[in-house]
Amino acid sequence: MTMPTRRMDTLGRRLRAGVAIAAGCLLGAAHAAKWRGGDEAGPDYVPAPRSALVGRQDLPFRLAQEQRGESTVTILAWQAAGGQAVPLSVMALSRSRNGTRLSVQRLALPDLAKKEGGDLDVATLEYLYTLVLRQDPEAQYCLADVGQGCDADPYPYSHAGMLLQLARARQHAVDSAGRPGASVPWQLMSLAPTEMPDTDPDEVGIRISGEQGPMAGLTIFFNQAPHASCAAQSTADGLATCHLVDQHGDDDAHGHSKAPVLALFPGDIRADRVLLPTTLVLNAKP
Amino acid sequence: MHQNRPRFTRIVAAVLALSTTHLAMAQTQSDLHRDAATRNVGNDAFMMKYARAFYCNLPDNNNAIVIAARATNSVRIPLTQIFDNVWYVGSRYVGQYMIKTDTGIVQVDAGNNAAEMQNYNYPALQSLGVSASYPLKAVLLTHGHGDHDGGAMYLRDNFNPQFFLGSGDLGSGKPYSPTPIDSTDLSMRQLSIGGMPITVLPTPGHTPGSTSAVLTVKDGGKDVKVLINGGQSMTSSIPQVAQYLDSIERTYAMAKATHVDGVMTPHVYWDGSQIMLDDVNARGRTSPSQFIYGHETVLRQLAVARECSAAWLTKLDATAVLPVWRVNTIAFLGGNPTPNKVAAKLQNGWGALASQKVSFSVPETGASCTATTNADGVASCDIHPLRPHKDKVTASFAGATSAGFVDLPAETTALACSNGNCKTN
Repeated sequence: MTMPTRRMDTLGRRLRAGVAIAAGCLLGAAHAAKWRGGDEAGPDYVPAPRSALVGRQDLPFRLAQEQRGESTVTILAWQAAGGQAVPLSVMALSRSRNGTRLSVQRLALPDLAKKEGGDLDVATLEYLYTLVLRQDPEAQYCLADVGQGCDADPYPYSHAGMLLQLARARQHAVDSAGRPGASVPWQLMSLAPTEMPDTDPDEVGIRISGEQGPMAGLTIFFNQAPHASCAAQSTADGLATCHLVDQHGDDDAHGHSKAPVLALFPGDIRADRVLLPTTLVLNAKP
Repeated sequence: MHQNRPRFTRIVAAVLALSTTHLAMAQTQSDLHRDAATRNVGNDAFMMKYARAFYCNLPDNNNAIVIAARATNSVRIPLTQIFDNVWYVGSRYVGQYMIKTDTGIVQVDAGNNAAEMQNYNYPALQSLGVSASYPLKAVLLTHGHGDHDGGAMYLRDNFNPQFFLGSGDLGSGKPYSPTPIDSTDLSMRQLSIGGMPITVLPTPGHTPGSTSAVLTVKDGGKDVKVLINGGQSMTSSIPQVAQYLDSIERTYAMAKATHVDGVMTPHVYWDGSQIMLDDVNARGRTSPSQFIYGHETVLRQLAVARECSAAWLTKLDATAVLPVWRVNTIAFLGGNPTPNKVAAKLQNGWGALASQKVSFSVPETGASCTATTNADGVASCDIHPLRPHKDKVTASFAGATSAGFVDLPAETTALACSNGNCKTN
């Protein structure tokens, strides 16, 4: 039935750049180790899309994506002008009946990059935070430092937990760089579930806190598959609640969804401080 | 009083400058892209009222218009012929397209439910001549939501067409046993759907299995290419919206590559198609059809959609920094092309585009020249030979990319003038 497939190379090239930041770009830890020394054939790198979270915007990051068996690998690399791309970190995504798993394998910094001092390490973690934020909030995560691997089963971190690990690793890198004040301070944010009335399953809420306690005036987005959502501003006690609305449903789809509700704080990035974006998965009410 | 005036003016100027600076600083990435969506609309009031408003409903915090549109799901539009061989059947909210081919009918989408198929689609198919020898051959489902495949089982039981659905929406299986279109293969390819060659492009984002398509229909006896959007409206999930954005960008590339001139949107409220349907029913089908928007307008609408998607993604993800897509237009200056010189102006919703290369060519003779736009966006050069009233000159801008912008390509063609006497095609 299917006629010979006609593909457009140009679309393919555009696509490779686009999918690097899209969901489903990751793989299993077993493949991560292979990238320690890079691929001899050389993956097809494209300039990494900008992230407002990265302090050193001048550092030449590149991304490549490849399919390895059932897994999808995204490689974050550093590439000096005229030089070859050197992998800094490998993210691997795999899906199974047990769910989606994502590993992030950190690699040793290349000798060529040492002139950047600790900045490259800091920026790499900042970029990793961005990449992980864009992944599936319901996935299980693992972070492996240089020389370590992701052998844990199940992967130990939730999406928010993984982001927290990256933020801590970034703070460690900032401290190690020994240049106090050179990096914008990151404030960890956390979302916590809160008691909601059982009478309305579409009424959702969370409590948002910073390092000093509840945070007011921040926007939280809630999403429930297939397409219900709402947004709320946090009150003085950090409480953000709203009523899920089916954005685009059909007449037969007004039943209560059993899908989990995903809460998202998109972050607030300013020149002098960063409130880190984070997520929380809330199980659907019975 | 007069003596104080200069001082007052300076104070006002300082306040204005501070305000402007503050506004500039306050403009978020999301605001930047919403503004770009508006600028890219140009002077198209219809696009502003429909496509711009609906694609941007979430970043505009204006979801109420979508909720209101959904309330029209039970308000029917009569079976309406929109091309020589295409009919719309459906409500003011969502509908299906029936395409007559030599050997049977191909339908796009399958309605909300069985009752709708029985009450409206069955009679419509009969009126279009469906029979054992002229069957409903295939149904292309843009995605697997209930307002697009809710009547599929009825169609299967009564007509047994072959269904096509993006594999990403199969979930734990669909009872009407569709033929999957591989949603993980994001390349554009041609499929035979009910014997009709249709170019499909998986466009995940609205759902994982959303599929867009380009097909050739007949309008006034001529072949025209039309785009079918795989699924509108976004969620509030970063990965899904990132996919949606990527899908819109690829749809733009497909529409450009295949030279699409028209759009058939299942959700007819989204881009104002319902108004076109009203117009067809009020005064008949025009020539070209009301559903032929023109290639530039289709691309402009997709560029607007891209900016709306970027506006929503950057609202959900404060780390995202995305370049702004700008729709450019190029136009020959009055009196040009002249016999020995051509001049054209390149501009967009932000103003004139300077320092960009514009190529002029006469495909018939091979004559060409290239010039760079000045501060007013004007490029001019000599071209030989150039035969007045005979040669068609094409001015084209190939597009450009910088850190903050993606300037989209632009092209125009005109008949060479003579002494200010111009005829444009």
